[in-house]
Amino acid sequence: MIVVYMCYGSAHSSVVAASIHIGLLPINRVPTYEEIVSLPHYDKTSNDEIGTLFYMGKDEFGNEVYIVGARNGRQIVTKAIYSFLSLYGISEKNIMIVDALPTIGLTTKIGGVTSRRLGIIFLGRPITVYGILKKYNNFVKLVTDIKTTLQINS
Amino acid sequence: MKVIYYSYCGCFSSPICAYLHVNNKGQIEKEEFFNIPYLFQIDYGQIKFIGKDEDQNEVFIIGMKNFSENIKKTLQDLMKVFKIEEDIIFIDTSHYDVKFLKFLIRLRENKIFKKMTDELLYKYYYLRHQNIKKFIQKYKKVL
Repeated sequence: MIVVYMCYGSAHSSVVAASIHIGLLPINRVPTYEEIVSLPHYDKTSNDEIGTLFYMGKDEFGNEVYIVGARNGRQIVTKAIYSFLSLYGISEKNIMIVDALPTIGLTTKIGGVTSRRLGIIFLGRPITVYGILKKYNNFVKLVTDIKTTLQINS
Repeated sequence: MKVIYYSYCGCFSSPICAYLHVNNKGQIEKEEFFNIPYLFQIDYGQIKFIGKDEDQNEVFIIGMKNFSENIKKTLQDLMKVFKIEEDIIFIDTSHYDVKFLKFLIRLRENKIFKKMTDELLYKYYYLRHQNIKKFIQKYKKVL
């Protein structure tokens, strides 16, 4: 099974959710600032890379975990992915696309715009981390729910 | 090979081009025009099969709003992940779309305006049919 965490720019929420999923971040405590900023792809994806699928790793069940950015077209992109793969007989049993954006709040969005769009990284990046730490429980719940679904389906 | 015609709505220029491609036609008569599959049917993100051309290439359409570059990139990466080796060509038909298409489609739903809107949309196609024909032939040569 392929699990794809999707968000606006594949720079924050999808990276954190995928990292929890593969065990790079803890589920029993809130991580530190350093743990977040040292994640692969965290606050690094450029505008040109939005839409590119990034491999994050494998989870304990052997599922491959990826991240992708879809701007504001997450529903359309998801539909396009499922309908495209169905042409090759690949069904929703083989791939799960998870919208990770609802896990974050306004703080991370403001930080994301400041860092990624305006390029003021020294200011935007700490704001994104602060926002993520504040909403970390949302990420843990999302990933736990996804893992439960994966276990039920397997 | 799969050929995917796409535009913002995927319900005007792309079904027209795909229909012409599959049926190897240069022009569509008015009655036939309104029977083109998926014409005026907005369904963003859904890939729809139109048919096979004379070389057995499968022809599809899709409406991708302004996310075409994103979607193409993601689908191409997914092909690598799932080891899909078939050739796929995406053809942007947006430049043959009507402006205010969504408004015209809504207007078309009203019985009073349907005839007028149909006339306008067919005329729009008819005035460009030579260019559309050349456009499709150009791609068919590449396939």
